[in-house]
Amino acid sequence: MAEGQGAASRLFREPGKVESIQCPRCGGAITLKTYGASERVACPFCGSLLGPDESGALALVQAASRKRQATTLALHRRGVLDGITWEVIGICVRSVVVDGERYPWEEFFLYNPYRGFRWLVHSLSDHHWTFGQTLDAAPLQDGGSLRCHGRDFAHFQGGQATVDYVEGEFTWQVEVGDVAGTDDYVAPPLAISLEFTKGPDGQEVNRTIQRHIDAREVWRAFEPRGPKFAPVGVGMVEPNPWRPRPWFLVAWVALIIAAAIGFALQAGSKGLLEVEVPGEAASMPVVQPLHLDGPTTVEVEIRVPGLSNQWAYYEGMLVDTASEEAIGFDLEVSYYSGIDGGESWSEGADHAAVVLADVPAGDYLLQIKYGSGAELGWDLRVTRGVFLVRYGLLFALAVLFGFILPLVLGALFEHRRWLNSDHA
Amino acid sequence: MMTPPPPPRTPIVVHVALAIGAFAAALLILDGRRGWLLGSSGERGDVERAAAAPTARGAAVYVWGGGGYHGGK
Repeated sequence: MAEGQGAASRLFREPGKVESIQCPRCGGAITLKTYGASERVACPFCGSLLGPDESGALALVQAASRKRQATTLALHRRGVLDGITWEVIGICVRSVVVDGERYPWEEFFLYNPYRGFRWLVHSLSDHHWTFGQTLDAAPLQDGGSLRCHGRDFAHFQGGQATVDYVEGEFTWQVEVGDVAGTDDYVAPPLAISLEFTKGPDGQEVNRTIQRHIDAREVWRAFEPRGPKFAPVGVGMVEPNPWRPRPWFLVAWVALIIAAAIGFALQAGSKGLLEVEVPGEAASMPVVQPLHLDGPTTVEVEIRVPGLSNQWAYYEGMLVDTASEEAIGFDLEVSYYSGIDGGESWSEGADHAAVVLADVPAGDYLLQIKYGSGAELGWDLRVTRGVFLVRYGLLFALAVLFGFILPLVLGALFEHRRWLNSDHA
Repeated sequence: MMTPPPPPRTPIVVHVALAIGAFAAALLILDGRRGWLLGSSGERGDVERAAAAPTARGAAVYVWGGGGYHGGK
């Protein structure tokens, strides 16, 4: 490739080929990226604040002598975010103090010659990141919230932010000790930050809009050399993975409606037989013909009205008269009660039932005979199309874990987010 | 206006639970009154006609002919 072609495709000047400007204080070489737009340059070596001079050089604004502070991303580090190459041209560490505790964050001022400036903000408290730019519109104040571009932003937190450290170039005049009032409004994954400073013409308001950016995306883009801290807790504008999507709600509402229809269909159980067996015939078998229309459930219930501190056992068969194949079952009815230590107790009931599932259509003979135990009169009732509660329970469990639990987790996620706000 | 990041991927468990919910609803509608999948079909076996015996309605009595456990204490 020809030299000229290669140079034309570059977005940035190579640092080594740029004419260095020396810090008037310490003599350290300073490489300027946006000289025409820079309002303040902080020497990366001694921290002295420099301003652009009419001669094209840098004039000392405030002398300083301090050690360079290690930051997560180094000055002049480059990385690709959203397909655009950005270079860190300024670093500012700021903090707020809430209830005596300091909450610092790093602000990396990014620059691309064609795209302008962006902010990459790293909270040193919880290691969440946001990526932002100057807001191109004035949001509408609506009570405690902002409205911008069709979104409502709720107030999250406010405070007095103090500049603790600066390094590199900035398009405004910044120095250590600067204080600005801040208010953050959120509509995850977006946030609007308002900064209030006192300028020569009164109060100035700077508005930036930020979005959540995954820490891993920052690491991939800028490959920081230092430790990579994983985010802790829920970030201010971290997207809620449990937030219900429209398709999720529509799907579950449709399923619940379908299940309700299913429940309604189950209501068609039909009594087939009721027989009262007197006490004197209690030991004699009961044999009754039945006709079933289709594969269905058949419930056989035996009630022994006079049962008290006794049990009775019955054997039953549902015989297909055509094939002489049978479904066998048995039933034990037991009921005990008493008073123990002044407390009355009871166990069992005077009735018991069995549900036979998937009984094919056909003509049947139901035969039930007394087996053993109390020989008392008993009542028999047979019902077909009995709904098995376990089907409803299965669906209820699915609703609980599939529908309600994600909603609860989503609410807990938001709760944890707002614990870090001024409104906790 | 800043472009929001793509929404986070819905946890896989949400999709799985939705599939289970659809299965449970289908089961309830299609099998709730039959009980093929979740019901107990009882012991199945052959029977034989027994000699005439007195019953409440005077009909014949079948005797369990085999095919698994049936009754007894």
